[in-house]
Parts: sequence; structure tokens; C-alpha cells
Amino acid sequence: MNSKTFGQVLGAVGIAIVLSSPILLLFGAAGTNFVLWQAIIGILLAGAYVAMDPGQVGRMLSGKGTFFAATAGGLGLVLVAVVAVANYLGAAKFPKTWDLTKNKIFTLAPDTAKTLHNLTQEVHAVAFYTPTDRDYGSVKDLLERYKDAGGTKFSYEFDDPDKSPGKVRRFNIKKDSGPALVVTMGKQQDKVQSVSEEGLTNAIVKISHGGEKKIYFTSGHGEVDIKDTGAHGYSQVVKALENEGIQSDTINLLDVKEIPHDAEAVIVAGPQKKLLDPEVKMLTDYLKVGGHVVVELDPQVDSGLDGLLKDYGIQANNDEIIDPLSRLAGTNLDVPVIGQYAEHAITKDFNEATLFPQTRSLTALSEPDVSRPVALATTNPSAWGETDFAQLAQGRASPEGMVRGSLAVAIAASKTLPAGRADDRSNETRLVVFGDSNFPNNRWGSVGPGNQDLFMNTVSWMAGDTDRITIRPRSRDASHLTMSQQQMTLVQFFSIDVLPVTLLAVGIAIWRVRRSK
Amino acid sequence: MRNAIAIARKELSIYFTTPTAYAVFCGMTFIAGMMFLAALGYFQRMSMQFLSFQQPQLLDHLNLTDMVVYPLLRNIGVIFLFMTPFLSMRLVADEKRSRTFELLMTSPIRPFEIMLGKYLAALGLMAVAVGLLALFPLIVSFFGSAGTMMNSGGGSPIEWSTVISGLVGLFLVGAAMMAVGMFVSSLTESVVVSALVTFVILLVVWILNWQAGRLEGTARDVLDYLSMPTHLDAFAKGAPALKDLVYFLSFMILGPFFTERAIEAHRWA
Repeated sequence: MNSKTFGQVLGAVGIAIVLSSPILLLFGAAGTNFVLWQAIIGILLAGAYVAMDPGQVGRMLSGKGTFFAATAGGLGLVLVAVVAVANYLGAAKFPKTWDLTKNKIFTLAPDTAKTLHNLTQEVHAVAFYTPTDRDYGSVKDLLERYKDAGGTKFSYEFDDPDKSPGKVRRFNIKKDSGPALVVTMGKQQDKVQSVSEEGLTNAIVKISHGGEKKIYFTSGHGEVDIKDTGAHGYSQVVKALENEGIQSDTINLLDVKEIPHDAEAVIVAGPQKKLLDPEVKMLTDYLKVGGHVVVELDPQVDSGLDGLLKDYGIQANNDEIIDPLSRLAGTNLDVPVIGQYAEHAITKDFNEATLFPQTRSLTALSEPDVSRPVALATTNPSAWGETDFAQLAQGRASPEGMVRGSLAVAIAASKTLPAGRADDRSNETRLVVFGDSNFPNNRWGSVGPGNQDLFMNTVSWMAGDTDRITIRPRSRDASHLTMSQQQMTLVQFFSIDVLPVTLLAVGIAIWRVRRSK
Repeated sequence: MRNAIAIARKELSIYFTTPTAYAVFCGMTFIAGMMFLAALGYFQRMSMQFLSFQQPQLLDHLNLTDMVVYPLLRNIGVIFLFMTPFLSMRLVADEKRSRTFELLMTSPIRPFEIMLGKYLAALGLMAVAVGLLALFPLIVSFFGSAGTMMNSGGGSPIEWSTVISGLVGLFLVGAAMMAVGMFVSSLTESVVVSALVTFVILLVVWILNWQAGRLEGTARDVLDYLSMPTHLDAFAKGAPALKDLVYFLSFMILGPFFTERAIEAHRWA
């Protein structure tokens, strides 16, 4: 082989390598570095060809076709660039969509548009979805619509929870509970409860109305320590609240004259001793002027709050819930697994299981004037309230003679106040009682899939704006098909027989006729 | 322009007096018919199931446009992928093979007019294909009714605005594919090579988004964007965006431009 032929072979290999590089890169057959090196080698080989036979290249360049090729190539490149820019502009700068559907199912509701329009800061959504998730496409479409409507005020990204553990931790996402969508604005963030237009818009409303809010945990009666990072502390859930723009502090009710005015809610988390009368009175007075109180009780402890709770239609029973079904879920008998929730602002769209370790049962009393007690979370019907604590201490329990059925472990009561009273803290008194103070702590908050969320939802309800925007999901009008077997056969016959065979027959006929001419 | 129309008429008359187009359309309608019957069968099974579950509220969610026509139009995109190379392969290559190309080049017809004529013929062919496929939504609207089984309503059983948007989308897919095919055809004398190369290019463009799943961020968005099904889907579901239109128009501009250059190049070679 002479050097000229050799050079041509080298050149051909070089050009093939260079041309194939982008395709390799696109299809990820090899890493970026590998492809880069391959392209460099290709260019070197092509260069070697030029070096070995400069005369041939010179002849090629001076040919009459070269001028044409160069101008055509140059013009082509310019056109490709123009088209690329047009595509970029169409995709990124001029998001115009024509929703041709009858019910405008791909158009955001006016409330959403208004919410996005009124944003003062950029909202960024982080979707922990991978393309293999069933809803990936619809979630992407939804986010894309928000981005189109929000312009510079709304952006989003998709993250693979397996690849970004840092973000998973920062946004407090539980990997096992499936895909999640989080919206952030500045330092604030909120997890979208149900991924739909309604859920997303309400999450945006929530964080954009936020601002710093404050809640107080009472102290002085052996309550849960909010700073404790151990198993019994609340440090994790307090941190999660902080991420949603809610600051937590402790308060000793004996040290203050009244509940501080910046309090969105007061939480009595698992007192081990009785609250004193002046403290109970302070809470009672606070509730009367539209205060928001969360009470978490524990079995066999007299909190001194029974009277107060009864005023709002809530009775804390002196028992401990035992549920034999818990064994099936892999927990102890005294850790009922809760899966039934009421239609209430706190538990709306809530479908995660919660675990309530050593909880007492609660009863919603039938006729409290207007405080509307709602049993938020109830046990399986197989549970009972064990009152024989002596037996229980020995690890024995039996349902005989006990109250059995779906027992409430959380009850919410609310009472709308007459408008126009100057001293009111809010226009609605809110009280939520749990039969247990352990469920949101550092240990159980991470064991129970929904434990932390239930607590967070409760605090959100306490601190939040009441007005949820309701957006009815839009869909196409229903239509149906009623075909007899005969009609179905007819359609079958037409679709895969008459239509294609006719086309084929015409084709063959034309072919035969023309050939015979 | 008159020359271009004359060429387009000649091209179309060739298509419809030889068996190729008929054979391709026969295959297309047959496979589309199978898909159509499968979608129809699925819809009927779902209706029966919901009815026997005694859950009439589920029947509210049944919709012929969403469950029959939309998946059908999306799937037909795949048929186009296999079909267009056979239709586009002879556009320019055949002229070269049968030595009529030199004749054409020595005539006073400009390369632009040659290209335009051939592309118009290709578009005409795609219009016929889409017209044939429109028979399936027509069948649905003939046998279907608005409202649920329990509670018939008035109005059209399918949303024609969505269906027409989908058919326009299919036409644009065909037009974009034909643009690629015509350019490839102008580079070679062999119709087989033309069809094969066109198919490979279109296949790559079609499945680009399969790779998107592995990537993240901008790379995934770009790959998704470059992939043709993304844009067909927007039309088929009845919500095309400006970008979808720009995407298809890009093919319809670049393909003919490079074809014209390739034809012109013969003067210089």
C-alpha cells in the first residue's frame, strides 16, 4: 500500500470517527470523556491524511465544486442556526399553547393564574419523580403549564431521589412513600399533599402568604423537649416546621400574664404532671378569644385539662389502646396502626398510615354547643381500650369488658367566633387533642410513614389561612359506545378487511392494466 | 410556481398509477385498523367492567376521544415512521436511476421548482394518508354517543376539535418525515439506500426520548424536545403549543432547503 492510499484510509477512518461522535454521545453508549478523546483521534487522523497528501487536498479545495459546497454549507449552517434559535424562542420565550379541548382541560384555572400573577418572589418546585413513575408525564405537563403562566416567577426541576440524597434530606422526603413534589420560596418550603392543580396552587398560596410564624410549646410539667435530639425529643419535627416558616419556642405559663400575641398556637405536648389552675384558666381564656391549642395526652396521666376539653366536646378516656391487628403490621399490640382519617382540613387527601405508640382513646361528645368535634384519626375496628393497667404492666390484655371498635386517637374541634370583637386572636377557636405525645417524636416520627406529616398538618391548620382554593379537576365530557355484536363485526370487517383490501385491489388493478397496455 | 405545480401533478400521477402508494396505504390502514379495534375493544371492556361494578361515577370518566382516538393517533405516528421511507425513497433518487434527472437539469426548470414540486406531491400524499385515517374517528362518532351509559347526553360523542388537532399533528409528522426522506433521496441513486437511511434517521429522531430517562436537567429536556413523539402527543391530546409547530416547520424548512442545494450541486459536480 503506498502512502497515498494509506493516507486516504486514515482520512476515511478519521471522518467516520468524528461524524459518529455526537451520536455516541447522544445515546450514551460511552462516557463524555471517551467520546471527546475519540473525536480528537478522529481529527488527528483526518489531519494526518491532509499532511500525507497535501496535493490532493489542494486540488479538492480549488475545484469548481468547492466554492458551491462552501457557500451551500455556510448558508446551510446559518439556516440551521436560525431554525435552532426559532425553536429555542418557541420553547423558552414564547410559551403559547392553544387549548383546543372543549372543556379547556389543559388550561389553568383563573385562581391559579391569579396566584401566580400575584407572586412577589420566585417559587421553585422540586419534583422527586423519575421518568419511570406512572405520573411523570402528567406532573411534567402540569409544572410546564405553571411555568408558562408564571414566567420568571415559577421554575421547576426534576430530581431522582436515589441520585440526590442531599435534597431528599433537605426537603424531608421519605423515599418509600413514593414520588413527592415540594415547592420552595426563599427559605420556605412545603410538600404538595395531592399532586394536582388544586394541591399545587394551595401549596404556593401557603408558602407565599407565609412570613415567619410562631408557635409555643408549654414547659414545666415534664412535657416533651423540643430541642432534645434523642428518641423522645421533637428536634426533627421542629426543624421540619421551621422549613415551613414556623418557629417554635417554649413557654412556662406561670411566668407570663397571658399567651404571647405572636403565638399562632400553643402546644401542650405530653405533660406528665397536672397543669395548675391558673395555667388551665390561661388556656381557657386564650381559646375563648380565638386561640389555637394542641393537646397531646399520655395514658395514666392526669393533665388537669379534662374539664377544658369537655367544654369543647372532647373526652379523654382513661385507657390504653390495644390492637391485635398491629402484629400484622409488624408493631406491638400497644401501637395501633391508623389508616382511617376524617374529611377535615388537617386530613384532607391524607392517606399515609400513622403509628400511635401507647395511646389513650378519645371520645367526641355528642352535643357540645357549636364546637363540631371531628374524630380525625381512628383505629381498626379490632382495637379496644384496655383499662386494666395492672394486667397490661404484666404484658397481658384481653378485650373482655372493654370498649371495642374504631377508637379515635385524634379529635379536632373548632368554633367560629362572632365577627367584630376587638380582642380576638383569630375568628375561629381551634383545638386538636391527641391521645399520645410520642407519635411525632424523633423515633416514631421517622418510623410511622405519616406520623410527622399528621403533626405538621395539624400545626399548619393552627397557623394557616383557612381559605383553601378549590379547583375542580377538569376532564372531557363522558361519552360511550353501545354496539351490538353485529355492529362490532361490521366495524371489524370494515377496518381490517374492506378498507385495506380495497386499496390493495385498486393498486393491483392499476398495475395490471398499465402492464397490459 | 407553475413549473412546480406541473411537477407535483406529475409526481402524484406516478404515485397513484403505480402500486407503491396503494400497497403502503393498504399496510397503513390494516395496521391502524388493528390498533383501532384493540382500542375499541379496551374501551368496551372498561365500560362493561365499570357497569358490572355498579360504580356509575366511574362511567363519567369514560371518554371516546381520550381512550380510543388519542392513543390511536399517537400510535399511528409509529406506522408513519415505517411508511414514509417507502413513499419518499423514489422522490429524487428514481430520477437519477432512470436517467431522467439529466433531462430535468437541462430543462429551464430551476432546482427550487423541482424540489418544491416534489415536496408538494409528498405533502399531497400525506394528506391522502391522513384523510384515510380520519375514517376511524368517523366510525367512532357514528357508533358512539355523548353522556354515560346510564345517562345519555346530547352533543357529539367525540371532541372534533381535539381529533382535528391530532390529525393536523399527524400530517405535520408526515410532512417532517417526508422532508427528511426527500433530502436523503436527493443524495443517492439507489431507492433502497434512500429508504434505509431515511428510516434509520427517522428512527433515531423518534426514539431520542427513550434515552432522556437516563439523563437529568437540561439534557433530558433537550432530548425530549428533539424527539418527534413529544410534539405529536401535544397535537393528539388537543393542546399544541407554538414550539410544537416550530419544531415541525423546522423540518419542513431544512429538508427542502438541503434538497434544493443537493439538486443544485449536480450542476457543479
